Amino acid sequence: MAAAAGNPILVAKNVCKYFSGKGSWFGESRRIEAVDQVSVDIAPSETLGLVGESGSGKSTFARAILQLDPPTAGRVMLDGAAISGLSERQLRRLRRDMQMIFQDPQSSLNPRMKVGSIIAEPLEIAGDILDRRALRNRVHELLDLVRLPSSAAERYPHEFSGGQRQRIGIARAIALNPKLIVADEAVSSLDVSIQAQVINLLMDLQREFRFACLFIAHDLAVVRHIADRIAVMFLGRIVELAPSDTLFANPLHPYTRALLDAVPIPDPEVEARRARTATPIMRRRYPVQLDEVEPGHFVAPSEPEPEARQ
Amino acid sequence: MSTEDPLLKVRSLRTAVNVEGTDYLIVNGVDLDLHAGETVALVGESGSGKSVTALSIARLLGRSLRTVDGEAIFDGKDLLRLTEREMRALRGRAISVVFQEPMTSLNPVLTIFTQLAEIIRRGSVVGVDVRARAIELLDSVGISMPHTRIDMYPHQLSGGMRQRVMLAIAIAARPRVVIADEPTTALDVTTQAQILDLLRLHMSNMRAGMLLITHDMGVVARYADTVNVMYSGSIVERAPVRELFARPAHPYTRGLLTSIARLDRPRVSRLPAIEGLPPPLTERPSGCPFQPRCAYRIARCSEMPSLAPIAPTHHAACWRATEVLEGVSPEPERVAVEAAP
Repeated sequence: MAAAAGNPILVAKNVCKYFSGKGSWFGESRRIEAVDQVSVDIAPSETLGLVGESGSGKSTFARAILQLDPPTAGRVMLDGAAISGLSERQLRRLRRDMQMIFQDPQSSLNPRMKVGSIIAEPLEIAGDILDRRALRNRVHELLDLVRLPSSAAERYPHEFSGGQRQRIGIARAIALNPKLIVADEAVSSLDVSIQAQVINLLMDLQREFRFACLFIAHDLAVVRHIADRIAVMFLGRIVELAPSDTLFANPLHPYTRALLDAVPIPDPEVEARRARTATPIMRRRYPVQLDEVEPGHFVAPSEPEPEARQ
Repeated sequence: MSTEDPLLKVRSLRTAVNVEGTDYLIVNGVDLDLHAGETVALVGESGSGKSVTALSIARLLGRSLRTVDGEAIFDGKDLLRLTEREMRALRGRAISVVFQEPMTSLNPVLTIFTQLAEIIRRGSVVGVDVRARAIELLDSVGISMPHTRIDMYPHQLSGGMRQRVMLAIAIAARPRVVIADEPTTALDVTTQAQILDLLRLHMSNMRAGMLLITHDMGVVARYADTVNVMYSGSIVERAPVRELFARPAHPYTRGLLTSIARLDRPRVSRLPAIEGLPPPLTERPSGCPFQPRCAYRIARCSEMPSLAPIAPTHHAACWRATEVLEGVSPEPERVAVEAAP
């Protein structure tokens, strides 16, 4: 399962995103390697989970592959077509095939637009449906798919709960039947019991429409549930990549182990018996090198790079 | 479980917000006991009233909120009836509060040392070396290079570091009660584990009691002794932690526990979700607030059930608690169908 079966929908090869800026409060200028040589691919209908903590670069990577903040280096291919280095005009035609769902439903939905218009917007921009009635039908169809009533089209985002707004965001994202959906902390701001509803919905929609999904989150239990394979990022680089069940049954990289150790399990009996033995992690990067230790399971070296190369 | 008198005894707490001339109860009659050496969790989702409960006890409510009923007895005094001056004397010494967002609770224009020193001086006898004590405190909360960091300003530290400083300030005067409101929600999971472990260690050393407000059932499982589950302003279930997770007796608790994705179990194709949403504050139904979402609903639920004992240390506010406990399945025609939220 190393390379995606058949032709992958998304191929990212050695993607880098560097920023120049003040490295520390002393004021010296320094290159910040927010994403450094990240390579992944995603098959049609597959969900790749991307986990990491703050500073891991996971959100920066997502924005880079969607060309929202284009990569500094590396190649990105969507369904076989290169999308890095394209002009804005060329990109516009391809944007319909890749959509994003954001963390904060409050700020990603225009509060001045009715829900129906928000969902219709990508359809109107793409020029697919010109007939007003057909457009309205499509909006109702999409609302139905995300289990919201048709009447929602006439209301404004603030009239809905967080979970409902997230569903509206999903309806907008699937409107053009994209090949790839990037969900960046899509359920993190929702209450736990609402998360389950939205996760179920996403998984149902993926089964039906077979889009590839890059699911970024810091909540490991949620990612494990929804993702087929998971990549763990630390300080801009991937340290481990494996099928979900393998990663949790047999985490090999010290950072992955530290991460799993830190997550409390909602079961006091399990927690009382747990030996949390992972060694604490220092803020030093691991080399860019992934070894396939068993089929489909890739791990970076366990020793961080020497101090000078940080 | 401690049999001594509780450190903190809260009874019938009611706090309201005023919306266009009408008072709506955010906290609708809460009772709590906190013993020395114990961690009591108050767990719930948005709108449950858990944070406002904590703020009410600490007398830190915002202007649009006010406590309209109840008492909070600490050291023989009712916290809700002290003057602001008397309360200020207690806060930061006998009673500490740790908030979620350290950037807003740390003073941005004062150094870490200045902020720590103030608390150390208030709680100490004359002659103590304040700076040495401050450095010792920073070290005890896992801040490396404390002698350098102590003279920094909050914005120069990372989020995790700031929360450790909050922790140092909270324990500096050796409090008897610590109220921690989502203390690690904004932090990375590895930092969260370190901070909560430290908090637990210090609580144990001081034999203090901690009221831990959280929405995270993992945190509850790992750190709490007793759990209170809140829903729409009321405590709907209370039990020792193992009992609550093993034998939930309220439909909401049961639904909550089964809807959580777990790392230690095989994946299921669907997470059993609780459909529907909690009622808006202004539209709380009479009787049990969980009715619209409850598979066990019966006619009697229009009368609010009290938090009644179903076992010596296990209380649930549900007319059918015993059935829920035993896993009797609700009658199919009772299942409430709601528009998906």
